Amino acid sequence: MSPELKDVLAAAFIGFCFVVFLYPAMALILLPSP
Amino acid sequence: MSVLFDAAIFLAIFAVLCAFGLAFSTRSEFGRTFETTLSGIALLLGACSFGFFVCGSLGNFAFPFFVCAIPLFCLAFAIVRRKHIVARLQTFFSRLRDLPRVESLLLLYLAGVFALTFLATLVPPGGGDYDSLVYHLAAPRQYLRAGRIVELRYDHHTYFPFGTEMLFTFGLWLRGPIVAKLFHWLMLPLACGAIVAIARRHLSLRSGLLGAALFASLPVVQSEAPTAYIDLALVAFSLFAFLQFFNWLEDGTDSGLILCGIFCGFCLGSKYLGVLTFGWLGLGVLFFSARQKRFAFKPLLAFCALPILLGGGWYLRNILWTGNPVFPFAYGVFGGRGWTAGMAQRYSIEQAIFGFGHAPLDWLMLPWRLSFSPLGALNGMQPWWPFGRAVSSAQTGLFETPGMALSTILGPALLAFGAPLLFIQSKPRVVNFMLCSFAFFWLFWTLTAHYLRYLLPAFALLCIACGWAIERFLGRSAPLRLATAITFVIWLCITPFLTPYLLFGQVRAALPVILGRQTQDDYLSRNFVGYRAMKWANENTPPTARFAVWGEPRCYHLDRDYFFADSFHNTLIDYEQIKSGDDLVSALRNLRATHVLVNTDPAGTAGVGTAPPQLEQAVASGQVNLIFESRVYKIYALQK
Repeated sequence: MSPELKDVLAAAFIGFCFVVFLYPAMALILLPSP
Repeated sequence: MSVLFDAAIFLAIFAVLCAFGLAFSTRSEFGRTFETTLSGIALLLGACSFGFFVCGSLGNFAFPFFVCAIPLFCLAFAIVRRKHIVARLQTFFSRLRDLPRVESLLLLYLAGVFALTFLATLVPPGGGDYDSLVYHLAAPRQYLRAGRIVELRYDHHTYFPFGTEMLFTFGLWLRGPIVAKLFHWLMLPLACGAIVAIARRHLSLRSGLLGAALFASLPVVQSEAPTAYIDLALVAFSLFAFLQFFNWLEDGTDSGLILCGIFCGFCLGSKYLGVLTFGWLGLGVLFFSARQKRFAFKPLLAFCALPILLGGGWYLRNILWTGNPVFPFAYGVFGGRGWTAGMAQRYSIEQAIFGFGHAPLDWLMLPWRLSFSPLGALNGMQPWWPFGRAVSSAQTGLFETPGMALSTILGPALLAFGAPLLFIQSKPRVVNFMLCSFAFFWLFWTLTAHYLRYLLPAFALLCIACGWAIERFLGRSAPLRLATAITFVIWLCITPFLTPYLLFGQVRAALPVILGRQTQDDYLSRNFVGYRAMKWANENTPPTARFAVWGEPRCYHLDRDYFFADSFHNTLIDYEQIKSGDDLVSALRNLRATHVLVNTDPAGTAGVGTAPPQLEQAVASGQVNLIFESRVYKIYALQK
């Protein structure tokens, strides 16, 4: 596997993790204050 | 005004600690000065905790002596080395000015998190500081009432190592709960400083600052720092132990091994899990000594003996009190006075409900679930099946108690930056050792209770490795560089706001108290449902009153002698023998109880337990009289 492809895969994984988390987390941010 | 006075007192303590740390450093080089200053502060805190424990166990905390002796000692030390201190401070500030932009921004971020968490600490402990109210602060308050460390048979938590609680005891004695909480807050800057020190010496300063920022950004860390819990103390002492271990490993200095032993002792005294740090680093010392054929007898002996000397006292105390050094754990091996097989079984079940299950497939999916919890527990928000469903049944699907799930979040950063790290070849030995250490802690955690906080020392180590990885990623091709930079910055900025229960929400709740617009009494009335009843008890019952408490373990604010009367806490009341109201009253009298406090709605108020039906019989017969009622709390007096 070329270094460039490795970088793209790593970048995709990092982006994927954050998008998956932040999408539903936005709903939490909008929860009413305690 | 009053909370600002608490802050001022603590800042004075901090100044004394810093003066000692600076005077403690002997090297002229900036990095070494930073490292030794931090180590000096941590050493002094650990030594004070040990001193309080010894004095408190012998019969008197002797706090007035410590209050006079330590500042005088530090002052004398600082005066003798004043030129040295001034030179170090000048070097420190000149190096700060010369820092590159990325490092400066990371430092600014860390300062921001420290400032916000400091502000959030400036309120008295409310209902959210659950364990603080149950034992981290409640037991020290009882020690202060007794003037020394006494066995509190009503609560099994009080048999845990209480090294950090000794600092809380001092804070309570000196001023009150806010100063006590600030001792735990201090462990966050110390832990982050230790991360920077490890990476600066063995990797790079930028790696260290990236790792420290990552650790300080974790929501679970930010929400824990303003409380009087003890997990960040274990993190800080563990990191200093690792720092000294690496110094010994890389530079071959005997002093590193000795200091590593001292910090392992403080870990043992902070929490039972400190045994893991000592055991793992002990294995590391043996392994590398054998590999390098380097056996220096005296440093090795010191490494083994110092932890036992500095941390073993807590375990010896348990042996003397109960016969079990790790009471109430390992009941099947050691037994334990005041505990039964049934209680041990119930306790194991309580610990086992955390997480998503213990089937092998559950373990495999743990990294994912941990990173995205508690999103999976909220209906309609579970984004990615099948990872959210437990393979084995009867699990909570949470890594914290439900009431605190929204304030203890790990987030995806460690998974996102940590997993690609595994595929990087030819990593430095320090990074490899940290990954192995993380794997060791992770394995233990996987096989035991899936409680998020227990992994904090391991997360701190992983953050250092991730900091190194992020620095590498930022030097690679555009896609990886951009993805890393963008996600990292967004993550740092967004974590305080993720839920209303996290840092921003905590600061917002604390501001009225800090600004004097809300009294501490009012704050507590709003933030802890049991406060009014306990305050009434403090003002309207004699100082010699002794309370039996059902349904409510959060008794810090009850400034009276008390004991938990629920059957699962202890064996003080033999419920097999309680058949009537008379039996119950007789049992309470035998325990010298004069009053009873009951939370009648534990399920709705995060209490635990319930009063036995015989209490109603005793009330009906007039042996126990209701004297106060507020919200769901009732206070009774036993007929004389």
